[in-house]
Amino acid sequence: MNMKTIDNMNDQEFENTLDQIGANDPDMISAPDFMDTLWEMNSKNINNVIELTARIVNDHIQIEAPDGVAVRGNEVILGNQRIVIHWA
Amino acid sequence: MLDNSHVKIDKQTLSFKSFFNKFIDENYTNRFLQGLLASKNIYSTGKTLKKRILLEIRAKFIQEQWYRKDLSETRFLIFYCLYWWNAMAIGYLFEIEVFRDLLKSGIKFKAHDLLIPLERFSFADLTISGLKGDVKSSTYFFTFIRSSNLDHDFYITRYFDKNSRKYHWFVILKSEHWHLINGEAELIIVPRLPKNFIKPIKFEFRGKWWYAINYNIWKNKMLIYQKGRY
Repeated sequence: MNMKTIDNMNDQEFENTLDQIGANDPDMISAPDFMDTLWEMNSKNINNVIELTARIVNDHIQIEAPDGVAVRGNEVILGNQRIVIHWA
Repeated sequence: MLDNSHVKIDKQTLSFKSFFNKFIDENYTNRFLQGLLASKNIYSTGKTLKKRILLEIRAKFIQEQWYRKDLSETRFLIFYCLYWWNAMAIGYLFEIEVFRDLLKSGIKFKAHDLLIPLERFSFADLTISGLKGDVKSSTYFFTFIRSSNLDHDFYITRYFDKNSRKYHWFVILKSEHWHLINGEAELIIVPRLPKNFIKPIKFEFRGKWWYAINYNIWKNKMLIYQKGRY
């Protein structure tokens, strides 16, 4: 998109820009952007990524995980947490 | 970015920020706040009053020749002043909305007096049970926290849901604050998309844990805490 800066707009374009101030009160950042910021902040402390692969076998989720990660059907145990994945 | 740009006026050189404080904020903000505080329906009053004052500011720029069509440099000053005054007005509108809602809910709090300039620029917008809070009309401030700090105990803010065309209020609070009103922390995983923050979201910022929680849930927990049931 070709965005004009304030100093290279013609008079009418600049007046229209001023008209827009206060015409609407758009929130400057949407919730997903806020969540993206949070996600990034949380992600930066992660130093180990575990990749899982999920397949549907006979209408059931089958998860494959690297060695050292306990997996049974649609359940994964990580430390003291059990993650259950459902097919929506 | 334009804060430190300069303008020469009556043989005086002022930064845009100083110009804004002296000629715009001092002359227009209190009238806007008085109008809001006297109104029962602050949203519609605020919208109308804000629009009217923005037009007045524009007219003042023409009258004083602070903005001249033949001098393109003056565009920056008028844009800067209108943009910031509008953003400030949106902020105060939300702040008063929050104060009124807290009052209506029976929360005990002390808000700064918006009509006294020194108080208006005070560190905390409000204090609840010794906790210092700030009201932010948009989560925009959050995009800058990586280069600044979260110095308050809590932040009351909102996001605009484009699908429902509604604002959702939520509170970002220090983990000590959350534990105070909620007891033991629960296990929370940062989700990709929020559902009005009904389930609190836990996140780490500079070695400290913070929570983001739905405003009404926070308010109810705060109320229970203040009533001494915790």
